[in-house]
Amino acid sequence: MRLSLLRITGFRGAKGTVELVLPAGFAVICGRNGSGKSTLCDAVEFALTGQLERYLYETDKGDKVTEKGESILDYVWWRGPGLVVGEPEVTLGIMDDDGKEHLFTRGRSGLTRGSEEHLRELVCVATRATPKDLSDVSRTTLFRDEEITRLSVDLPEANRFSFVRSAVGFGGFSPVESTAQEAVALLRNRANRIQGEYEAVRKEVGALTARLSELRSRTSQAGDTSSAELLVKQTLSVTEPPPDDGSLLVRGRQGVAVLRTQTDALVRGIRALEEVERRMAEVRTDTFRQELSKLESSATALAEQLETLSSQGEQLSATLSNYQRTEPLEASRAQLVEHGVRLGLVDGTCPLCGSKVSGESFDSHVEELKRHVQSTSATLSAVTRQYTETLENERRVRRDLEAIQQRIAASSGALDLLAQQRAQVIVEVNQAIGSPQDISVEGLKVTLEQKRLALTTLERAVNMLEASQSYQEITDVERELEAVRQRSDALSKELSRAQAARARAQSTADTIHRLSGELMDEQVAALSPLLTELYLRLRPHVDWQEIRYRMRGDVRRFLSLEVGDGLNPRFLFSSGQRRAMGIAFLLAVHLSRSWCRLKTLVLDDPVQHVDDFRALHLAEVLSAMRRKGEQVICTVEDPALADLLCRRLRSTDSEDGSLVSMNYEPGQGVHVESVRAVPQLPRAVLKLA
Amino acid sequence: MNLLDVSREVLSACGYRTHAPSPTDNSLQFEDDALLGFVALHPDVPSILGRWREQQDVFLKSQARALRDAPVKSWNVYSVFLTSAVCPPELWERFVTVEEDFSGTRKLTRHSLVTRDDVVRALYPLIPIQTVVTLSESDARERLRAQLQLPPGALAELLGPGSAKGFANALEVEQ
Repeated sequence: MRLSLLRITGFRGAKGTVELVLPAGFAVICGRNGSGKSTLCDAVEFALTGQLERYLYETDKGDKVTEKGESILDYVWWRGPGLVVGEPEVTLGIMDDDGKEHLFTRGRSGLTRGSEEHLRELVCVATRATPKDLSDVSRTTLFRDEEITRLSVDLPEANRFSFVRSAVGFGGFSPVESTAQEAVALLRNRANRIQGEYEAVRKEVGALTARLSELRSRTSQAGDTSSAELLVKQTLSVTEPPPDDGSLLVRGRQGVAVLRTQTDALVRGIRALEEVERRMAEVRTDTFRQELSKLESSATALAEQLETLSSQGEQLSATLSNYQRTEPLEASRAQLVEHGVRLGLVDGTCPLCGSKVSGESFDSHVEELKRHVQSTSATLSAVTRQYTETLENERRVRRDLEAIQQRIAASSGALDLLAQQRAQVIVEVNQAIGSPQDISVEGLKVTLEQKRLALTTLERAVNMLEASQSYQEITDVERELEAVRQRSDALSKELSRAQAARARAQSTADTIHRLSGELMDEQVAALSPLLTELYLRLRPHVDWQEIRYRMRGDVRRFLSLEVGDGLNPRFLFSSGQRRAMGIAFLLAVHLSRSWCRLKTLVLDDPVQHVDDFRALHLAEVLSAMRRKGEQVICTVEDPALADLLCRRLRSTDSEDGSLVSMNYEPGQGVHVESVRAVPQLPRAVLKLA
Repeated sequence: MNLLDVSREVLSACGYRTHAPSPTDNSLQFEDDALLGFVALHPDVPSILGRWREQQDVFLKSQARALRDAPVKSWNVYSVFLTSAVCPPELWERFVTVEEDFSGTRKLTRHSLVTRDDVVRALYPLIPIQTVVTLSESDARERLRAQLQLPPGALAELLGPGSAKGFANALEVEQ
């Protein structure tokens, strides 16, 4: 199966319609930059997939968009000046091995002739490993100049592994492995659910077993039921016949609860009463009375002392008030003394009164005035200090008096308070036992003893009645326990089955995963000799004449290419050498497609950055592929190289070839300038005698 | 092993007509629909380096008339120089450079040829792709079936159109 026709209208660089009838052998498409060579290659990819993958990059969300976030569809159709004549579309013809041509036309809205399913069924061999979409067909059929190293030598190892895996067509046992993994999850959930039910049932078994043990223990204490009934009746003073045994038991239990409450209340009451009576006895002693008398005497003395201090304070306050009234006069005197001392006698005249006095008389009067001022000031200070001390003493005595008065009040009312507390205790005891009792401690102790005796008797009688009722309950619990045990055994078996099935499913999933890895290793190993042959044919590097592959990783697989002693050619080779090696890798992938019926290789300008010597090697490799029936479509820029390819790619009667020249006309887009059929070479030139 | 005999056998198997001009000449001529030329066997690398141009010219001269009559095919002439001897390191560069001389014919020079595979590799530029990749999926299915060791019902559920639930049930039932 091969490509037979390529017709484009308004696609990429073609404004009008460009049609190429593709020969069975090869087509060498030659032209300058922009002449439409890549447009034709784009058309092949677009017809197959509806995409142009080289213009896309993957965003963080996994969407494939162009760099500015625009859709590639914005640039698939003619964007130059003028309108396209006719409907923009791409038509791809595929010739099957019976010579029937199948046409597929893709326009703006998708395939308008042929269907995706038909295209896929036509091109791909139907096996479980068939690639999921036609992009795998395109990716392994068409190799472009700028993608040769990116898709081979420079490809990350994990992506390279995926690329090779999709090319060889073995996708592992993904559906089967998924089924096994899903079964593991189902069985795990089922086992967990059964485990939960089993544990709940086991808890139930434990609870019922304990209950049974308790009941059996109780029945061992069972005595004379009739005497127990009598005891209950007597203790509770029941006169009327009860409706049944159960009612008497309930009343007995209630009676036990009442008696317990009463004995507790009596114990509390006796303790409280004993404490109150002890305190009352203390109050009534002589020591207590003497202590109270002493306090009262101290209070009287302090009251008298307070009265004296209060009187003293009032007197001192009056004295101090008198001094304060004369304070301005004393202050003026002090200023006179100060002025007199500072000015002195002025020309025999007193500077204060203007009278004529002698110097001695002036000094004598000033000195006398000074003494008076000093005496008055000392007296004022003494009175102030005495007044402050008196006030302080008064406050202290008042405080002491109040404290003693409080103690006297407390001691005097203690007896009344204790009497009130005793009355309260008696009320509480009477409320608890329900009838007025002897209020003495001894009387209450007698009552407590009676209640305790009644409680013990009633408890024993109730226990006997309960034990007699346990026989029936034992039978019920035994029956229930047996049923729960059977359920437990069934769940245990079910759990074992689910766990065993889960283990087997897990083992199955592990086996599938392991075998997938083994088979993939073998598939790639099968690819290795072809890669080696193509590498040797293309001879990228004079020193490193052999190439090896290495696979690693379990969960995520990696495929690395190595030369020499584990060296990575990506960092060892020049760009031209990397390209030659990349071509070897991609051609090996292309030739390994057992799942693909399409025997067509499309190369878009594969010899850029490759020297003439290695370009010749490539021509020889393509010739070698042609001899295996491969259709080769190759675009080149150099006319000499185009001629070389035409000579080497072997045009025959059944697999002819053509040389196509492309050109670009400003405003009109690309067009086919000429198509020349490559004639078959003469078969026997040499004279081989 | 006679390298010339092996070369002749390999080329013939690939559709070439071959001819040995002289039993003592240690060379043979070949041609198919697109390529033609000669293979010359040498005792060592110095011999190749000393005689390749002379042998090429002799061949071209002897076939000059025929080549003139087929001008396009005359571009596809190969001169192949083989030896089983190892190339001395000091001659390596000169030996390699012979191939990069595009005058007259396309030259192939190979040394250290010992086995048939060595000869096949030496003739790679003249012959079709030799390696055939055969990948069989049915083998994989059989190997999987053999390794799983599952009861028949569970195996059928897993490998057939059954569901995970059906597979899980079969695993529980068929214990």
